[in-house]
Formats: sequence, structure tokens, C-alpha cells
Amino acid sequence: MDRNSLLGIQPFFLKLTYDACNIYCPLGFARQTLKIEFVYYTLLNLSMMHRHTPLTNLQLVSMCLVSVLTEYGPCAVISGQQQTDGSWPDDSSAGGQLRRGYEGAFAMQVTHVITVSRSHLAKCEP
Amino acid sequence: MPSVSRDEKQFVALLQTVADGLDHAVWTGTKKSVSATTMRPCRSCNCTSSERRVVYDFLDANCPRLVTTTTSHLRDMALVAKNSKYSKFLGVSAGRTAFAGIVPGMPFQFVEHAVSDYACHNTLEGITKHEVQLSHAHLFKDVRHALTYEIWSDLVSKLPLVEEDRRARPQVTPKESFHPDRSLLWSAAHTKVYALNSVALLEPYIDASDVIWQSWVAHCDMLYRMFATGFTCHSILALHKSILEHYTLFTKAYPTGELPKNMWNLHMAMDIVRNGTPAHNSCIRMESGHRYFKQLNNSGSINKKSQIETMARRYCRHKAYNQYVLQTGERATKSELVQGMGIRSQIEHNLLEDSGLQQLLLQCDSVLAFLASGETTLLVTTWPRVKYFNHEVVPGRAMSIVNRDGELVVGHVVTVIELTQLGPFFVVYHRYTSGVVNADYVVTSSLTTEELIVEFNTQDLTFLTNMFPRTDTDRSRIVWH
Repeated sequence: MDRNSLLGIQPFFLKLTYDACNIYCPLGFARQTLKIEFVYYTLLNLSMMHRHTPLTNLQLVSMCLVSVLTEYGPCAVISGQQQTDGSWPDDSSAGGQLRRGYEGAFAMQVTHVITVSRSHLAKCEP
Repeated sequence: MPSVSRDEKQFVALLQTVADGLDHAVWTGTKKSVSATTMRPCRSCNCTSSERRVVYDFLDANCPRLVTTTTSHLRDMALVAKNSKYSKFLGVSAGRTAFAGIVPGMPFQFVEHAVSDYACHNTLEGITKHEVQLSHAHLFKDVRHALTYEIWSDLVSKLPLVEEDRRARPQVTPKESFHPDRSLLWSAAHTKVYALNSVALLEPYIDASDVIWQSWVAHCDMLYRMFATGFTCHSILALHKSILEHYTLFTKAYPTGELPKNMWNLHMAMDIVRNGTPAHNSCIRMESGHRYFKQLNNSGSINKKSQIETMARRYCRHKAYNQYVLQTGERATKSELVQGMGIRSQIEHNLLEDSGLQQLLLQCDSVLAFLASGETTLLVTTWPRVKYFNHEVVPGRAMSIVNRDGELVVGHVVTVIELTQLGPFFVVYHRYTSGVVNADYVVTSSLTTEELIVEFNTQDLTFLTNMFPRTDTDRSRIVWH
């Protein structure tokens, strides 16, 4: 991309943050304990003061079990299931949006919170 | 400052990813375990558990240990993929990394460097809490010191309020319930406030010749330098020196008490050069986002069979409700759940469509301001990874930049010093003042945001260039690429 093509382009910069959290069953620890991975993004164009405060500027893009993450890999969680021809789905996942953005077609409209379960990744190569 | 038209084409880039130590290991494919018995606990230099007591200077070109680079990391991952037994010795997991599939065609090494190891998290949640515990157990017990629990609790009650949460300050546990090992249930922000004020508060009651006290003073000095919002080459070296001094004193005070995270700290200066300041890479604030899910789960009102999906759905309603209140200014008249569902029906299908980035973009006009006219080259100070845009900041070209005071500065580029392929770089330029070239060199950096704009003289420029030599000609032990 040369300098002239930068004219008229609005750049957005994202920062992904991921962290795991233990969620306990309110009936008791013996019932169930889930370790869930949360993936958030923030807009780096915002100033430092507004980037993390308030928490409404923090957007959740994905959440899944840590066991799913370690079994199938974080790439599948972020980008979805890889196609048989090696391409990646152009869906509403964070990875799909980033791919579209990298090609200059980022619409900034569809940002789902995606949940990934084992059934969704059943065909994905571990 | 020109206005930014909303019809312009949008472009997005994932510039940075942040995680704490364990999640960083999961996403980059390095070894996850950081216990004292781990064979190779440090992912930066892959040292053994016995070598971590040695204080290495990793900014020294003659350092006997090699620092892991992108190339060596990829090579190790390839070796482990062929034979998993290498995983034990190379400290690399045999898994795929996260970002190889996000942007097809993007070389992996461009992305791997964007994953920053959050040094502050390791420090505040790890070694600072650990050293508070060790030092208090000693200071309360040693008869040379006049410090008692009553004096200490009185001093803690005078601490300033936590910056992020002005309603709270570090709380003191009652003496009868004070844990025997002196562990404190403080958050990272509370620990930071206590550490930065503890030296001045406790100094009158402590014997200054105590080596444990000297270690704690060096620790606090390191913390103070680490949380700076901007660094110059001199301040990075000063931070590195204080880290080495603290680790030397710490190993002297506690011969067997060090954590693997103490070893990680030796890489902090280089990590700052690669990934930016720790204050900007904070992931502690993101952990506050878990509070909603914990409260939601403890309320007992979610479906336990599809718990994650239920939490995600409720989170969408929660965000939509907050956005509805923000836009309309109306207070809630019904329950949050009902209001959220009402907005869902209005927006029809996607709750976050109008409540997410679009609204955030309206707030950042001042940050998004960029100029393009004539020979003026675009350079936005909030670009930590301008390589994504193939910036053409070349010597001789005019440039403009918005400094930390919001003023537009115009000059022409003298030289560009690139430290890594994708990472930080310095731009040295002459500044125009009233149409006349100012003789001073001005150096700006992509390390941080607009805070880091400092003026250098010729001597500093020579020093800076010598400190970070280019890798294509230099064969030093520390490989920049």
C-alpha cells in the first residue's frame, strides 16, 4: 500500500485480551466448576483514559471452555473451523472480521459474541 | 485539524494482544507451567531451573544466554511438531498458535511479536505479593525493628485511595485473623499503592542495614520506574539497572525464596522495547470484566445445561441495555432483562451492531485525526505497529505529528531507526519552527502513544544508534530482527 492509498482510509486498531476465569456452581463446588476463557477487544484509537474505563468500552468477542481451547487450539476459537480447501470461513467471528478488515472491507457492523462448544468443533482437527 | 469524513474507507488491524502469564503460554505455544520444579520455566531465554538464580544482563551483547527470538521460536515449534519429546527441553508446546489463521498471508512472525507478555501482571500478582509476605514475616519478627502490627495497620490506613477505584484503599486484616505467613488478600492495584508508599511510611521504624529491607526498597524503586507511561533509552537502561540490583539483593536476602517470575523480570527492559510500556499493556483492568459473569452465575438464574451460551446471551442483553440508557438517558423502569429484550426486538437481530464500535468511534475524533497534504506523510502517534501500513517515513520527507499537547508539529525526517521488523522504531526529524528548521533533533517513537515525544541532542542520537544496532550487519548475541 503506497502513501497515496492511505488517503481517505480510516484506520482502526484493535487489542485482544484474553483471560481465563473459574465459574463455580452456586449450589456448591462439588456440583460443577467451569474454567472459561474470555476474549475481549478494545479500540486502541481511544485515549488511555477511555480505553479501559468504563468497562462498556471493553467488548467481549468470544468465550469458551479452556479444555476446548487447549484441545482444538486458539485459532479455531478465534477464527472458526477451517474449510477443507484450507481457507477460513468469512463469518462473524473475530478472526473473520479481522480478515475482512485486513482486506479493507471491514464494516464494523457485525460483532457477535460467539460461543464455541465441542459440537461446533467436532470436525475440526485437534 | 481536519474533520474526518464518515464516508472514508475503513481499515482495521490487530495490533496487540495481551494476556497474563498462563494464557500467554496457551496462545503462543510456550510452556505453561511456571512452578519451581519446571525444568525450563523462562520462555524468553529457556534457562533451566537451576540457572534462574544467576543474574544475567540480557542487554549485554556478551550475555552467555541466548534470548528467544521469533526465528528460534518458530524453529523450536517445528522441532516439537516433528518429535514431541523436544517439548521438555525447548519449553514449547506442540500446539498450534492462535494467530496464524486470523489473517491469511500474514507471516507468522509478524503476529508472534504482537503478543506481549504482561510484565506488570507477573510483578504485581506474583513477586510483589510474594516479597510483601516474606518481608513482613521478617520485619514483624526481628527485634531490631520497631515495627509492630499496630503501627503497621495504622500506617496502612493512611494510604491514599487506589487510583482506579477511588472508593477503596488497601484494607487491613484484624490482628486476630491475620494470617501467620503474613499473606494479604489485596488486589494488584492495592498492592501497587502500598508498595509505592511503603518505603516512606515504614522507614522510621526499620533498621536500614537490614538486607531484606534493602531488597524491598530496591523492589519499590523498580516498580516506580516500571509504571512510567513513556520511556526513553536512558530510562529503559535505568529500569534495567534497578531490576538487576533488586534481583541481586533479593537472592542475597532470600537464598531459596525466588520465584520463576523473578527470572522473567530480567527480560522486562527488552520486553518493553519490543512490546511497549507495561502501563499500556495492562490486562488487570480486563479482569474486572469477569465480575459480571460471576455475579450472573451466582444469581442462580441461568441455565446450567447450556451455561456458556446463556451467559453470552445475557451479556448481549446487558450491553444493549447499557447502550440504550447511554443513548436515551432514560432510567430503567423495568427489570434489566425485560429492557434488554425490548431493545433486542427493536434492533431486530444484532444487539451489538449499534452499541459497539460505532459508538466508540464517535468518541475518538481527536485520536483519529491524521493529515495528508502535499509531501506531508501520515504518522499517527498511536500506531505501535506502523509496519502494517507500510509507512513511508523515509529521510528527506516532510512529516507531521500531533504531540502530547495536541499541537501539530511539522518537520522533515532525518533518519528512521528500526529495532525490529514489526516492532518499535524511532523517527528522528528536524522540527520546523515558524518556517525555520530548528537545529535540534527530535526523536519520536512508536513505543507508546503521544506521551513519548522527547528531544535528543546529537550525543543521545549516537548513543541510541549504538544501543540498538541493525541485525543485518551486526552479529551480536542478542539478535534483533
